[in-house]
Amino acid sequence: MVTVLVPQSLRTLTDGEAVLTAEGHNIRAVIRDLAPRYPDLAERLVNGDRIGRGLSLAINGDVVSTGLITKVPEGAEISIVPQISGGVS
Amino acid sequence: MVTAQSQPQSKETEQYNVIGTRPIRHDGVDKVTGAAQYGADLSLPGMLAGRVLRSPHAHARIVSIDTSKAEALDGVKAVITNADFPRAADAEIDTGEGTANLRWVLDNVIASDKVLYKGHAVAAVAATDHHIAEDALELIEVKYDVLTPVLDVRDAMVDGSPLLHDSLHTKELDGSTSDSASNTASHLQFTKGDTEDGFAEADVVIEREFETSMAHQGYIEPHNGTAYWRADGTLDIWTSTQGAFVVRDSVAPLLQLSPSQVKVTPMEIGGGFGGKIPVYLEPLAALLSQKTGRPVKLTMNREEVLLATGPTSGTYMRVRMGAKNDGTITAADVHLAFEAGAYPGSPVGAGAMCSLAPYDIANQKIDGYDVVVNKPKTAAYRAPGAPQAEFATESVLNELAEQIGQDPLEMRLKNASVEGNTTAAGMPFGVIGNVECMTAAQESPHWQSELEGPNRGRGVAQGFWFNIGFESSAYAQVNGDGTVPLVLGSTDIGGTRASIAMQLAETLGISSDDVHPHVVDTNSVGYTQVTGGSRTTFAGGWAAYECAMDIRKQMEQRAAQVWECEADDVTYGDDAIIRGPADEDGNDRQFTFKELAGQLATSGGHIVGRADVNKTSSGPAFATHIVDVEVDPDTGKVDILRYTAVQDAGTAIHPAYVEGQMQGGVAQGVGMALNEEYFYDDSGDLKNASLLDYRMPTALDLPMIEPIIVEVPNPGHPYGVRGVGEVPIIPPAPAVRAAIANAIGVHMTELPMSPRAILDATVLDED
Amino acid sequence: MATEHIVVNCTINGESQTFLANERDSLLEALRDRIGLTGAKEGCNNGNCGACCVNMDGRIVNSCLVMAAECEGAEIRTVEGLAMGDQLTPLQNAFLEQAALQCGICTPGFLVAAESLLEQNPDPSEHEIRYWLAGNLCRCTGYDKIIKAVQQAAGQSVV
Repeated sequence: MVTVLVPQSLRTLTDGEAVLTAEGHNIRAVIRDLAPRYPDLAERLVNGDRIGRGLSLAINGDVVSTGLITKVPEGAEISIVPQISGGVS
Repeated sequence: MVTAQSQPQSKETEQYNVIGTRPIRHDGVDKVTGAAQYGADLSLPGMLAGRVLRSPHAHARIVSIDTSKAEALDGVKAVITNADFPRAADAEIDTGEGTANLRWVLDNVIASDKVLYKGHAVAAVAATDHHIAEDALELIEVKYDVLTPVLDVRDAMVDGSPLLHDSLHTKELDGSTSDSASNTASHLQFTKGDTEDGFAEADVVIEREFETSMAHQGYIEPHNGTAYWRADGTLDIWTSTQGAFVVRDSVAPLLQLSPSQVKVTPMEIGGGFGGKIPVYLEPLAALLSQKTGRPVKLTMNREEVLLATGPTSGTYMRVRMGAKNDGTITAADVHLAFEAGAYPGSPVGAGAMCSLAPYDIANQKIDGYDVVVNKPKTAAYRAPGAPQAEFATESVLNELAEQIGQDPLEMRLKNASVEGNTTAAGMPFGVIGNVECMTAAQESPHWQSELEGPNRGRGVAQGFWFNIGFESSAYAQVNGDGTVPLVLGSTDIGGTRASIAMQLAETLGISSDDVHPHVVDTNSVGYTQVTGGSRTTFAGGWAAYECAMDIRKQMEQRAAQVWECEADDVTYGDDAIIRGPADEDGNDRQFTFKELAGQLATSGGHIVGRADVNKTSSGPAFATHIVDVEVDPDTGKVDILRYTAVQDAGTAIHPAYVEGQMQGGVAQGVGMALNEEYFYDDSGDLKNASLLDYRMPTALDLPMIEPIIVEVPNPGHPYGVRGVGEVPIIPPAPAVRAAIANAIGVHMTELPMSPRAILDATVLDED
Repeated sequence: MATEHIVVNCTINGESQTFLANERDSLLEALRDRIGLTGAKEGCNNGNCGACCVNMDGRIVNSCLVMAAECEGAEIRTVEGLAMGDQLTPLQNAFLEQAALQCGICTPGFLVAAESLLEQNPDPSEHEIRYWLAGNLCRCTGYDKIIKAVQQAAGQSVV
């Protein structure tokens, strides 16, 4: 089982839930596991074969760089954060 | 090894042979003899010179552009406008530290229907000589329908404000958008706990508003871009950039080329600080080259750099913070409105996530707004967004400490984030050096000393920056004499050839002088992200480590082949001795690295090591700065008397260049604190677009800056590296503000805290 | 807008040079575009940054503010003329040993300016060094290591 931490701005997509639990060996699988319960959040988190626009995911504090196929260790905490764009866009 | 200074290694790096020493940088001689080739130094046969025509208005609709007279001028070979580019798709492209909308990227390179800031490019000319190109600009006739400019972030957010983009609606992080068009491009919010409960628990609550000016990266080398579009459809670009691959991946879609048709050669770069990630001139040079069939070089002058290339955001910020009398911070409410410039994409998200990160505060609410205004599109600038946001939060924290009568470092220690704490953005901390920096500052000779004299004061502040990892590549071959050329894709802005080569040398057990690092073009190395985000020594070093491990493995296999034994029985030691099993006579068999290198050619061929890494465990950076100032009450001028910068570097690979990053960051932070500002009149005309009036610190404005390197190794890196480049720009402004308050009792609320601002504040204070 | 060209005879780094300058060329443009000496850099083109510093008849000048046509008969020394072959000057070595450069774009100007300081004042104080070099902007280093490099080249002990 892994924990997904939902920031305030995205809780409109989870009926106000801040902490979700899910199963899955990688990011894609975790999002698939969330989809039946939180379809709006799942849709927001995926953009084709990438993580949703303007978002980054962090596993135990490290922002993932290998997208949806990034492995998720058992017991991990996944944070959803805005992309650290550094104002380059 | 030639060492720069005979300083001993730190006790944390004593275990290493190369890491922690101070070798002469590999590219040093070229840079002290004038031989190093920067972008503007390039000359090609038949090369044309180009110039860019820029808007005199901050906000206007382009009615028409007539280039016929310019085209008729003798020596002019081509004139282009936005209409000459293929229509850009409404698609996102990777821009190094984020993504950008392709249409806006093109519109910023050269305006289509509207100009959105003074200096916005509207046409470009290629001619046989730059004097002729400049003359031609005066012959281009542009008719404008001038519109009301929007110059202040708060004005821009008001309903009914003139709109920069009719199609722009406010985006929330959850994907929803506002019904009506707005200058506010996006809003984000982070919360933790309940701030109302938190403020109710507080004994003291302070609320402050702050305004900060746009500030420029101020690299001494203006932007440049040279292109040669060959008849076979391939495009060569030479430019001073922080990321050759980002230039390739920005230019190719703008010109509807395959990335394979575009080769970008990064020239030596004269400073960047984030500002040399976006493309400005490269697409224009490319199209001018296509039109003329000749290489075209475009360069900016300083006025163009200040008018039209990315500064960091000006802001309006409001912070409310509450604490108990024992110093516990119970709640913080942070409101950040950042100017993005003409197109969306300010660093407000990063600023929001950094703003309270050094502290474990139970109840937090942070709101961030990204707002377009009629000023140049902002670009990344050293820890983008953090210097502004942490100026606001650190300043209020210092005032809280003052009000409850607690030592400001003690108060920080009481609330400091430690391993396992989670920020409001939901990011948990691993092993960090936050407390270690604060403690080292407390123990420093500076903090332990007394400061005496009238109008003098001392201030302290903390800084936090994420650091990033991402993709880096390295190739290295082993020559017969045991030297190792190392091929890299990371532009070297501040000595990263050396810091990466040192990690390869350490891993191979050889001298840093035997490694020869080279920065090459996009066809000659694997994908490498920008030199930015304090990632280069971290990720490039990791690539070098893996590249060296690849070489070690191949050397073991080769030795096994020579000795006719199993590769598993051969070991490559950290002393660069390759040891095998005893021979038939029972004698030990071993090669030094150089011995085996000498036999490679005749024992099966040469060896190439390679690595491509994509790492995330970059390890955040913290810093604590202490400053003493003296304020002249008659002129408002602030002199920096003494400065100490403490920073966790993880492991300082080349301590002299770590110190250099810390000192350089302080200098830029002091500039932001005291002098540097964009001064616009009501029409949106930038009145100080020169280095005389945009006042960056000189050698005379600064004292020696004492660096104290703390080393809390990053467990997410083979040598414990954390990025060091960005965090030192963050603490100077709030530390200087606290020192001014300590000196004259006035709490400033704007950046820069220029003589004018200080006189305004002190005169008002007396009224 | 007819352009006049002017023949200029001068000495650059000890070699006599004759070149054809556009009447609008600054010395900096002539060095870089006509003669091919690109060591002097353009940072601001109006005398505020010092990246284009060269030595002209014994004085340091911002070459962006000198017209090429003014250089008839002048003796000019640029960063390319400091080292003797592969023998760097003590100041160049000190810049390397003190890590006094990061990006290196301001380095040629600092070297020319600081060599001139040491010729005139072989044992300058820290304040004198800072004062002399206040016309040269560096955005990378915070100046610390540059000051120390000059002190080292002056034979002073550097901590």
